[in-house]
Amino acid sequence: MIGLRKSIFAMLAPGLGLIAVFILVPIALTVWLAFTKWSVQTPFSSATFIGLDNFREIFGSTSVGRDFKGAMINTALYSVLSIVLILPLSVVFGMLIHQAELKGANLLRTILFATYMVPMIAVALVFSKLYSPTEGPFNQILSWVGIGPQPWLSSPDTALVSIVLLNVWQQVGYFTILIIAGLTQIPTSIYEAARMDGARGPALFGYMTLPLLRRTLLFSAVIALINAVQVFEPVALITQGGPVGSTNVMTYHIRRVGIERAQGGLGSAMSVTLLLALVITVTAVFAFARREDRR
Amino acid sequence: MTNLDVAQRIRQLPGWIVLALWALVVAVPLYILIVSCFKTTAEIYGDKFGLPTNWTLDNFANAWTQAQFARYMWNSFAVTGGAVILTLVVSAMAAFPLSRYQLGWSSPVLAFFLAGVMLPIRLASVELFTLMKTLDLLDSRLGLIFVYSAIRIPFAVFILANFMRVLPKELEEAARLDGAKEWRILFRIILPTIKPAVAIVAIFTAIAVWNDFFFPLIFIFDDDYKTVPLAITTFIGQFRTDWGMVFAALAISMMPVLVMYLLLARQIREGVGATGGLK
Repeated sequence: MIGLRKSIFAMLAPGLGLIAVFILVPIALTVWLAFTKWSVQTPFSSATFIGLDNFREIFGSTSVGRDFKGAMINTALYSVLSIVLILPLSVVFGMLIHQAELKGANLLRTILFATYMVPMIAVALVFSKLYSPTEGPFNQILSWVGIGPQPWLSSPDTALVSIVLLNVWQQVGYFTILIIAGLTQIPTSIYEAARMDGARGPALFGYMTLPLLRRTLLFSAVIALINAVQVFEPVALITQGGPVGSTNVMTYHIRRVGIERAQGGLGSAMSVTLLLALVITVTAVFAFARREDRR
Repeated sequence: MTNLDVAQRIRQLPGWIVLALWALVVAVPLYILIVSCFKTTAEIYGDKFGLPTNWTLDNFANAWTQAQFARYMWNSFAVTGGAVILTLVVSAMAAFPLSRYQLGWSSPVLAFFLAGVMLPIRLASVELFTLMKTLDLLDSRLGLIFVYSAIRIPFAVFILANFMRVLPKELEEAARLDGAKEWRILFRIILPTIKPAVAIVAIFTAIAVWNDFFFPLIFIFDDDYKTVPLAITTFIGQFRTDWGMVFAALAISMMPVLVMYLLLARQIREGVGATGGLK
């Protein structure tokens, strides 16, 4: 039995070890360094404890505070817009593909999901061409239906939304497949019973499908949120946070502050704030779902 | 065709139109990406929808001879292969006791693994960078392999444990009576019977690692160790960007994943479905 226990430990250790060293330790270091003055150019041991000063500064009214709050708002907007667009689209496409035994459904799935294979740098670079304000294809298409040219990435009003749209383009396929997987788990007998009782169309969808999909939707929303707060590639490759900071999102900003300006402590305080916001949001969503479950 | 069929078709029509429109939305950027590979930069800035005036493979040739593209490809293959193998071996080893032994404490350990999925590690990138520097893992393919594996292990353990849990107990008992070691049981008996799960883990790890740009950007500075996505971004912006070549390089880099996708599209979709079981 001791031999077995030893071998259990030996089997778990590499996995737990890798996660501990390369995920948990950096996160724990982030939390600690948030309360210190520390530069990336020096070892961790050079950090000096300064209490809540970093947090005071990032929530203060100096330019550091303004940039941070801007980045938080951009990230929040980006995340909310992404989720609000991705989830309903995925549900619509998932229902359509799942419900009707459409001929060619397999081909459609293959096309819909293909975007997931395209590396984010390719998506970002292609969209930067598509968005081109003068002769860009998007403005060309808009002109066919009589809509004037949009500034897309070149205006602070539309740049963030443009980045959201390319994220939606890439992610919808993945979430559609998740929704289809959730739909296939709903027994068809439940639908038949509901139809016998006279439930039709929208009622069937609102009272049967959506509640039964709740777990899938919850899981999808959390995954989409965790992906969204980590957005980096399109910002780094095409907008560099601009114009006028309108696409300066947190991962990009933290990297700029922490590595380029070498203010590791400040960057860590920003990470910790976002991490806390994320934990609170996810916990609230789960708590809300659990309460709904009990009802 | 009966009347019923016709009625059915008509009712499905709006759905079809919605899906066809989305397929078009998906197709336009992919089309632009593909035709741009064959165009000159001037043509790319000109009519973006049009086909190239003369189809040429120059862009591909230029991309391939640019700097050391073959070397970048090799780096990408080495990092991806290494991460897939390490993730699979380590995750299988962890999933085995968690799913096959009666352990009182297996759920908290599984929860620990799951926590790994939820933590947005990119937010700790400054600390991870310094940690890698301390461990002498900057400018190192091994460093990338470790980080990618750590990120992918939670998902892999979850998938593998789910597949292992439903296997019959008798499968390993006979071997155990014969005195086979646990390692042997895992790698010779259990893993071969859950090949679909192994494939799912391998495919998803490979796609994520192959396409990633973020971690090489942070950890790799020496041109000799750059992976393809990082190398491609260095083609942009110095002086005048040769966009035709950039798109051709992107197309080359997407080839391995694309081939895999076309061969394994169904398995990949089922893999996403399997993650949906995460409850």
